[in-house]
Amino acid sequence: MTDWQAVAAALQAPIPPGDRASVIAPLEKLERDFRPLKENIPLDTPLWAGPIESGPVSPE
Amino acid sequence: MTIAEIGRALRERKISVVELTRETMRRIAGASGLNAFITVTEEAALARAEELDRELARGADRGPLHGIPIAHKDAFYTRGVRTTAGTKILESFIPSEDADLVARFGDAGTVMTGKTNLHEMCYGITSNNPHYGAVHNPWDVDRIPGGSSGGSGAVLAADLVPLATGTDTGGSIRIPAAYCGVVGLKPTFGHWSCRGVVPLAFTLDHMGVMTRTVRDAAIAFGQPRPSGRGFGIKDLRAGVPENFFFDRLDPEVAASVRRAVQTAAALGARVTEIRLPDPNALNTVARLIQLAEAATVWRRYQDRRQDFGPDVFALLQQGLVIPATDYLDAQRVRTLLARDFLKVWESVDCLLAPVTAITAPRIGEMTVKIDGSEEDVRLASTRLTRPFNVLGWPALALPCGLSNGGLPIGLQIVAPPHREKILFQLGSALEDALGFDSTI
Repeated sequence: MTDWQAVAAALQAPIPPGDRASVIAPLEKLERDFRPLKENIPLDTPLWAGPIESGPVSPE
Repeated sequence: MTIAEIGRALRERKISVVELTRETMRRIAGASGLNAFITVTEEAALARAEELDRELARGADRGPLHGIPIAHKDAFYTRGVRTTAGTKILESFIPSEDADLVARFGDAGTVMTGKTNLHEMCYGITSNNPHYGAVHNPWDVDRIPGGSSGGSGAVLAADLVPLATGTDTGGSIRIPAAYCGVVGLKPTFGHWSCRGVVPLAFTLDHMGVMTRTVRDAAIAFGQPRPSGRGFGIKDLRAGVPENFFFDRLDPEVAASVRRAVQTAAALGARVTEIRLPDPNALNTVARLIQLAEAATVWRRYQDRRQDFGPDVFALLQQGLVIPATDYLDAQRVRTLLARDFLKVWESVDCLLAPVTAITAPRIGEMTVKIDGSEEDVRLASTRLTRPFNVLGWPALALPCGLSNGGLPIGLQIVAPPHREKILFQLGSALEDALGFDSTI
């Protein structure tokens, strides 16, 4: 799990002790939810560029 | 009154635009306890009304919105009129030009009555604004109207104006529509320009409108006016999600939406259950993207902590530390999910689902109980709307019933990109058949 407090300090956006519960806990949950989604992104996957109206460009 | 009714009265000379505007302003003043407006523009509205009356008198009719009172969410730039976005940071901001959508409705002949209150920076769903006060729900003034376009929802529910603008990043038009018993239209992503609107999340923000009826939403959208009962929905393939969208619902919400689905079937729609790929993944991606994009917008003010509400500041702090690679990966996962979800349209023409899992919570309530389990109010309000911001699909919220406690319940119709006409077809047919009484 990422050390979000260390990241925040490195980015010069320190998280005050009183804010840890409202900031760190949601980030940890988001990281847990997002990790499995990003693990197997095909190399050539582009960024989203608007609503898609036709099928996939190429079969994955 | 609806846009259609007012339009008839104006053209039959039963009322002038000035008389209509004066009456609207009288009603707005009488409903000041709702705190739905941040700014009321009475003087400018009356001057504009006189101009529009002169036009009508010489036969220059701008169309169905000529003379119609409109309220703009206070995130839309309005030339010469303060635009706060509900934040203290912009408390003195007076734009030098109108937002594109404000200009569009102005050209169509609307009369701006004022700027509506909202959740701070459009970043939340309660509209309990720490700087401009809480907006009250006209159905029960101890309850929130939803948000972030809460003031727009409240002015429609109180029948102060027939048309209001809104923005929807995770449900901010549809949620107040549901909690206030009115109609909310979030068109396809990018249909209406976001130029001149204070942003929240660049790739999730949708510009839209709120009205009292589906037909009025169609008029505001610029669709041909429907005639008779509905646009005709026989054989329209309506999909009801069998996963996610009916999980963890207030039983009264579930029952009311199920009744609306049965009504759609009785009207001739071919209703089928459909399994959707993974709506929860869409919500995860949305959270990450929104946190990062919103932090980008507001990071320059991070040293003015005292000028933010605590809920918004916590979200900005979260967004500031998200790595760029995670943000970009979220946009790539979004592409993959969008491809998966596209398959939905092979078997159905639209989706029917609840707007929110609950009815309007009380002001200040942070959690709600659903079937015995506690859930965060924000999540219970947004988890069914947010997926369609990620996909950019058009969605329409309309009232489908009342709870036993007398609170509105919202139904959501979702269509493929740029197929808003389907929303109006099914929405107007259901509106007629369900006969929701919006009188408070």
